Amino acid sequence: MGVIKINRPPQNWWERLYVFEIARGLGITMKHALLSWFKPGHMLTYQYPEQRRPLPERFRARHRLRRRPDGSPKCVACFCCQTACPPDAIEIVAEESENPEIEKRPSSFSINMLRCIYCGMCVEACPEDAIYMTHDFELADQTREQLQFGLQDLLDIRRPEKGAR
Amino acid sequence: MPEWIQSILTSNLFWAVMAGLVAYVLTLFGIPVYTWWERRGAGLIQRRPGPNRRGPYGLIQAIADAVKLAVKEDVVPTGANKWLHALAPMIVMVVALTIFAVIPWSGDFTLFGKTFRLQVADLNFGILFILAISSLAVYGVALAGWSSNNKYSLIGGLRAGAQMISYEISMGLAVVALILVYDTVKLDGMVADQAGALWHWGLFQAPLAFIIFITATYAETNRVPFDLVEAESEIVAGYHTEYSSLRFGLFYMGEYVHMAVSAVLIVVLFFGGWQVPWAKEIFGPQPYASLFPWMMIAAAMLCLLLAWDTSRPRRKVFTRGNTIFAVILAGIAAVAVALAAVYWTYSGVEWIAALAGVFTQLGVLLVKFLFFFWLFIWVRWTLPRFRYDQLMRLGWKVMLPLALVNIGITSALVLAGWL
Repeated sequence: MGVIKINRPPQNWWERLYVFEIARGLGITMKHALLSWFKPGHMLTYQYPEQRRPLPERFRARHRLRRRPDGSPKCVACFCCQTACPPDAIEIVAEESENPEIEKRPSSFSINMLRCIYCGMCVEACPEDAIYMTHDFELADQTREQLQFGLQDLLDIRRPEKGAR
Repeated sequence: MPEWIQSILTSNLFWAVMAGLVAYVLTLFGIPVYTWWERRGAGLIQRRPGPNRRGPYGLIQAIADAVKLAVKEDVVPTGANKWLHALAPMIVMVVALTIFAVIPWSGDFTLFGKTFRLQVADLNFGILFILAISSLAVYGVALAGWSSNNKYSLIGGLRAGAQMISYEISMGLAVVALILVYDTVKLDGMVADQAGALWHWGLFQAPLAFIIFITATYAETNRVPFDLVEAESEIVAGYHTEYSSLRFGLFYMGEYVHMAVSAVLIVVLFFGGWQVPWAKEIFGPQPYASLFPWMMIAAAMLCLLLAWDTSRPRRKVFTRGNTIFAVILAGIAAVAVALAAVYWTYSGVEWIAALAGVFTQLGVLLVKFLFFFWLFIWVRWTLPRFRYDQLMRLGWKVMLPLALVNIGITSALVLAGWL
C-alpha cells in the first residue's frame, strides 16, 4: 500500500501534555494580533486604493502611442505590432500620409484591452519606437466597448468615451 | 417614589424579563458584533487588518453581512426532506438560546423587602438542565445533514453526531467533579460557593475539570480545533452545505449563540460568575455597590479612549462616520460618569445601592464573558484542525479516563476536607 511514513520530531513529556504548548501558541498569535493593532507597520498587507505597492520599473500595463514634435502620431502604420500581437488585440487601418517624408499613417489604431495579454511584443516589434507600455493597470470598466482603446485614447492616455470605438 | 414604579421593581416578572433582555442583547444584538470581532481578530492574528472599511473600525460591515444574508435566495435542494430541512436550523438556534434561561446574571439582591435574582428560571437542577438541553443540539446538526440529500452534508451530520456524543460524556463527568466541589447542582449556588478568595474559583478547585470542560465545550460548539463537522477543505461545509439565505443564517447565528452561552457557562462554573475575588475584604460590607462608581468611571475612560482613537487621522483614512461614533462614545462616557455621580449622591438610599450592585455584578460577568468569547476566536486562529481518528482518540482514550480520574481525585480531596 502507498503508505508514506513521516518521521515526526520526537516530543518530550512536557510537549505531549499539549496544554502548555497550546498556551505558548496562543501567546504567539496574541503577540501578532497586538502588534498589528498598535503598530500598523506590522501588517503585511497594503490598503490598496490609498496605499500602493511600488511597481517595478519595467511593469507592463496599458499602452500609449507617442507623438512627433508636431503632434502627429509617430506610428507609420507598418503593421509590425499587429503582426507580432499574439492574441490579435491590435487592429490598424492605414492611410496615405500628408507628409512627403512619411509614407503611411494610421487612420485608426485600436487595441482591445480585453484581448491584450500585456506581453509587450508590440513594443519590441515597433521600428519607430511609437508604442510603449505605461504603469496604468487599473483597467476595469463597465462595458466591453469602454475597453476598446482608439487612436486618440492611446495618444492622450485617456479612457474612451462611452460607446465610442 | 411612585407606587407603580415600586410595584414594577418588586415583580418577579420584571426581573425575569430583564434577565431575558440580557441574554437577548448578548445573542441577537451581539451576533453582528461577534462576526465582526471574529473577522477582525482573524485578520490581526494573520497580520492583516480584516474588515476595516465600512464605518469606524469596520463595525458597519456586520450589518452589511446580515443584510446580504437576509436578501439572498433561499434554496431547498431537490430530494431534500422539506420539513426536516426547515426544522434543523431552528433546533440549533432554539437549543442554544434556551440555555440562557438558567444562567444567573447576578447574585441575590433585596428591593423593598423582597429578594430577587437576575435569572430567568431558577431551576433546582440547573447544570443538569444545561447538559440535557445542549445535547439536543446534535439533532439539529444531524437532521440538517441527513435532510439535505447531499453526501457531504450527511458525512458532516454523522461526524457531528459522533463528536458531540463522545465529548458530552467527558463534559458531564467534568461537571460531576464540579458538583462534588460545590455540593450543589444549582448554578446560582455554584457561583455563591466561589465567593471570597481567588482560589475559591472553580479553576483552582478543579483545574483538570476546567481543561476537560473547556475542550469538550469547544467540541460541542463545533469550533476549531474540532470543526470536523464543517471542515471546509474536505466536505465543503458539512451539514450546512445545502443551506442558504436566513436558514444558513440561523446555523451561523446558532454557532455564535452557542459560543456565547459556552463562554458564559465557563465563567459561571470556573471563574466565579459575577464574583470579584476578595470583594468583601477590599470593598467593605456592600462590595458590589461600592464598586459601581469605579466600574462606571472605568467604562467612561474606555469610551473616551476609543473616541480619541477613532478620531485620529490614521483611523479616518479608511472609514467615514468616525466623528459621529466618537460623539456617541463621549455621550456614553458622560452618562456613565453621571450614574457614578448619582450613586455617590444617593448611596444611602437602599434601592439605589441594590440596583448599583446588580449592575456591577452584571458588568463583571460581561467582562469575563468577553474574555472567554475572545478565547474562542483566539483558539480558532491558533490551532490546526484534528484528523477524525485523532478526535476520537482524544475524546475516548484521553478525555474520558482523565475525567474519571479527576472524579476520583476530587472526591478524595472532598472527603479529606481540603475542598
